[in-house]
Amino acid sequence: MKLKKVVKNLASLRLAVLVIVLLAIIAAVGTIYEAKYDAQMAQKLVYRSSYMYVVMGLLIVNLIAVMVDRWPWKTKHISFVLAHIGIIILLLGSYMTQKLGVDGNLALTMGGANQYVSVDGTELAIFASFDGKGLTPLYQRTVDFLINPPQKEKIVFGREPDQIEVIDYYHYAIQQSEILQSDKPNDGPALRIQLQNSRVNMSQWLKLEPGKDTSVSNLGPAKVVLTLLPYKYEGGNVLVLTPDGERWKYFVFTQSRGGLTGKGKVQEGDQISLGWMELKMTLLRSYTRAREILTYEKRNTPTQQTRSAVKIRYQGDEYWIGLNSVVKLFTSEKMYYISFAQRRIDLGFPIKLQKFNIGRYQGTMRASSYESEVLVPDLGEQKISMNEPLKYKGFTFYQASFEQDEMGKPTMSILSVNYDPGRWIKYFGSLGIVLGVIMLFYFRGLGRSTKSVGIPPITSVPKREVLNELKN
Amino acid sequence: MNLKTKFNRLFCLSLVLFILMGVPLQVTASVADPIKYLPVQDAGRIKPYDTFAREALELVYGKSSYKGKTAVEVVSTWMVIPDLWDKIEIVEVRHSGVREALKLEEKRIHYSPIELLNNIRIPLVMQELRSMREKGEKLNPYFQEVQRLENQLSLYQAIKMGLALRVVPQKEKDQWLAVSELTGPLRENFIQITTDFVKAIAAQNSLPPKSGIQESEDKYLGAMGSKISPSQAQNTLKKAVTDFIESARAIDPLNYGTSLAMKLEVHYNQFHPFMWAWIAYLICAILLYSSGVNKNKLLKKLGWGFLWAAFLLHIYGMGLRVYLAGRPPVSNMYETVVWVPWGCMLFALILNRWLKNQMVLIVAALVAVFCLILTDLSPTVLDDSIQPLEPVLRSTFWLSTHVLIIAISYAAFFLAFALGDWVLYLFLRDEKKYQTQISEGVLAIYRSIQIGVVLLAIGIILGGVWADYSWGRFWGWDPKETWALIALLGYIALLHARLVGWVNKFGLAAWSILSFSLVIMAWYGVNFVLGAGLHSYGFGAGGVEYVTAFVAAHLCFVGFVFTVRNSRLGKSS
Repeated sequence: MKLKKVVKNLASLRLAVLVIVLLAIIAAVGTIYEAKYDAQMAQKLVYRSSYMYVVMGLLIVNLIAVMVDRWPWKTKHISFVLAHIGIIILLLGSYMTQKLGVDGNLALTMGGANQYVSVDGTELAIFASFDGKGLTPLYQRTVDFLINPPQKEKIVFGREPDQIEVIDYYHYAIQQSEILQSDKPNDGPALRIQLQNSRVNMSQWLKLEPGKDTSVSNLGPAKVVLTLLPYKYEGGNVLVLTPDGERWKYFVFTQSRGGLTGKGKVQEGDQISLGWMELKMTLLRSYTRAREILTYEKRNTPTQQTRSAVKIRYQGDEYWIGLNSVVKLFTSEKMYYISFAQRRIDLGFPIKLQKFNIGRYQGTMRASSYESEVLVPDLGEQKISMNEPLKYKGFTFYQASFEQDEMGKPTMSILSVNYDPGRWIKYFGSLGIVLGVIMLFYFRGLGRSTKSVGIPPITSVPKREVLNELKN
Repeated sequence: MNLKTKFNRLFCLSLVLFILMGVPLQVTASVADPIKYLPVQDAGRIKPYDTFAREALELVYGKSSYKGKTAVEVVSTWMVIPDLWDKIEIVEVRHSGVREALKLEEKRIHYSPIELLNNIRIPLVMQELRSMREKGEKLNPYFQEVQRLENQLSLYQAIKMGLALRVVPQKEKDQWLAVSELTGPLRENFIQITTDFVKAIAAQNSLPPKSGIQESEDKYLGAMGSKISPSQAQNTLKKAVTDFIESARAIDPLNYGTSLAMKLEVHYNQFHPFMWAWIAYLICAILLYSSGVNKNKLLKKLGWGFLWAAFLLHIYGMGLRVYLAGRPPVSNMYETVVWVPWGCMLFALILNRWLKNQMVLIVAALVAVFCLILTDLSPTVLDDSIQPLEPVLRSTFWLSTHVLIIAISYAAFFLAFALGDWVLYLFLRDEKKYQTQISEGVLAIYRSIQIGVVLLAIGIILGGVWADYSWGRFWGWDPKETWALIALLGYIALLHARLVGWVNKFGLAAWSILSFSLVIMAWYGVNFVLGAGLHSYGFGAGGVEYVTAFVAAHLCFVGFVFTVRNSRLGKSS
């Protein structure tokens, strides 16, 4: 008796309306998150949040209870049962996809092979090398710093004084490099120059990497060459800088005069005229040896250049590691190699990109179609194009996107890789919903409407609710 | 009573007459017309010069004609007498923030190219835009307008220098040659066209009345002014164009635009079927309404005549567009705003069949008038140019099924919304007196919502099937699909709330208006306000303030009727 009452309450239409409205509100909040941040943020904070699961759970309970409440079913209940069971099956299918499925990206460079699919989630790994050759894995785990920031859940590896500690995390951050004076003998020189005329005003760091003897920068109005060697002129407007103790020797080459038009020495604070485009160069800062330090600046919203980064502490020094990069820590007897990277899944077989074809709309660079010609073990050469996926060993490979250089030459093809055990369950549920909804409204509505004016009573309405309607 | 009927009839007939007379007469005829049909390669497809010129002028000037001159005439003279046009205020800068940044005179919207190109702040503003792009940040309305200005100026310059107009196919490459790149006999041919064009313009200008721009043209054209008549000049021009087309076609006969396609597109541009459709819809609405008031059979028959005429014109226009673009008519905002009122009318015809309620037809016709006028009024928000599709949209079967169905479900909700307005109006007038009309109206609303829910549910699921088929993801909480789902949930909640008895007749009418805000968000808001997600091929900008005002006005209307009705009920009980 009591059970029946509980079922009645759970089956109430009021609960149904409440749940539907809640779902709509949560979904709307999710889209705002996506617009402000990105899809990943919306997924993590809204669509896969615990309150979303609670509301979904309530929905399923409500749907089941209402069907139990109407038991025993009559013919007129077919449409209502079909639609409601369809929704339950669809939700179960989606849950299976989410828990058991794989949904990731496979990036293939031109002519390259890859068997690792990057999927949602990040991984922190620590390796050590004692002889400078082999790497021994010491630590590896999946981390979600967005939900569990390191300040809240401490991640510590090893023991003092040999302890590596994760101390901070930025979800959106922009990498910034800082050039500092160095005392290490193999670091190269660096300088910061400013180029100015009535239209342009820019300043730029130029640096020689350790072991390199030349670096060439195209700074829009000028080509600037930093070199230890004598420079061979090959045309264009060029400024050549060569370190000379604390100072720099400079050589100016002018296109219109076909060669050297000025030379001399500069030091910090000096300004020289280049003679073309009324450009003036100022030497703002000069280091005989310099090193580059990477830091991250926190952002509240993402752009194409932001990525996430973690900060670790080791022996009193702090280091930033951007997503998909590594940091090496040296001590006298060993080296630590720490990586913070997108989680990857091994397909177990490589896919090799043989060729990438782009079709373009006539006379433009706009792609009209694109396809990857890939080499798959056992299957041989296969084509994957938009809307024409490839199925192999349970995985489906879709052509998702590609990257190209400035000349429009493709550099990378990105496939979306998918394994979905819930697919047919979802389709089955969808079929139930569609059939149910059509029957519920369409056939019944058609038969009735011509006979009566005013809203026809719906047959599946329990009597007490009709009474309620009358009361109102 | 009799007098009133007579007055009504008179009023309605004079209204129809008034509309017919006030049909906006477009600038269509020009001596330069023969060039219209010249095939041009632009933005990934081959289009007649007419379309090219219209699109160029719309981008630069904001309208498809300039002071009584056709786009073809204006854009051609950019090439012939650039010195004149450099000084004419023809570049539209609508955003006041951009005008401020450029320190332009506040009162004007149009500026001459020279003014803008010599503006010392232009390089600075463009540099800002470039750095925004490099950083990959989302462009706010200000930068979107800066970007538009960049496009306007570069297109104007490119056309002026003969770089943008690509008219001759190449054997080896698929990019056509621009007029400035022509060599040999084709170059001679094109110069012939230009000379004949100038002569034709001069001949046209020799006829009074003269506008200011024509006088300046004469000054610049100078000795070119000749003594031949405009029709003679036109014939010479026609021959030059035909010669040119023949030689150009000979290079690549297969891919050169067929003359049928060019003619049809020029016809589509000029005839503008949707304008005639809305005029016929408006007349139809007036006739049907007065036939209901007067119980007049003749008016009713006439009204139905106009209804079918409008409906067929609407289909004719969409059919032409489908043929020209080679794809279903729902790939951008403009096309959906044309497609949805057609669906509204279709459902109204069906509902009228079932429910014998003529009001549904009138309301649907008014929705169609509203939407089709909208497409004409706002060319910058609802871009009517035919653009190439993103690769993923090129599987036409799935695109057509899922988008057509979702869009047409919005049509059903739109109909329910408009009927809701009508029913609330009746509530406001006199609830007791119009009892039957209210009941009939509410039933029609209910049926429309049912149709909408069925179609939207199917459309969303088919969208999932398409996404699964092309990306392997049935549901990804992408904003566009999520908002379609939110709209669906809203209407389902409404239907369930009706079962509980929370919603009576008044409630259904009121909620049909309120819930339509969700559809507006899904249809317009996701692309124009949120601007996020995978459906990025449909993004646009502009019109937000108008749409917000539209929604807000309806919220106020519902609130107002609710309060008035409550106070009345309070008094009577």
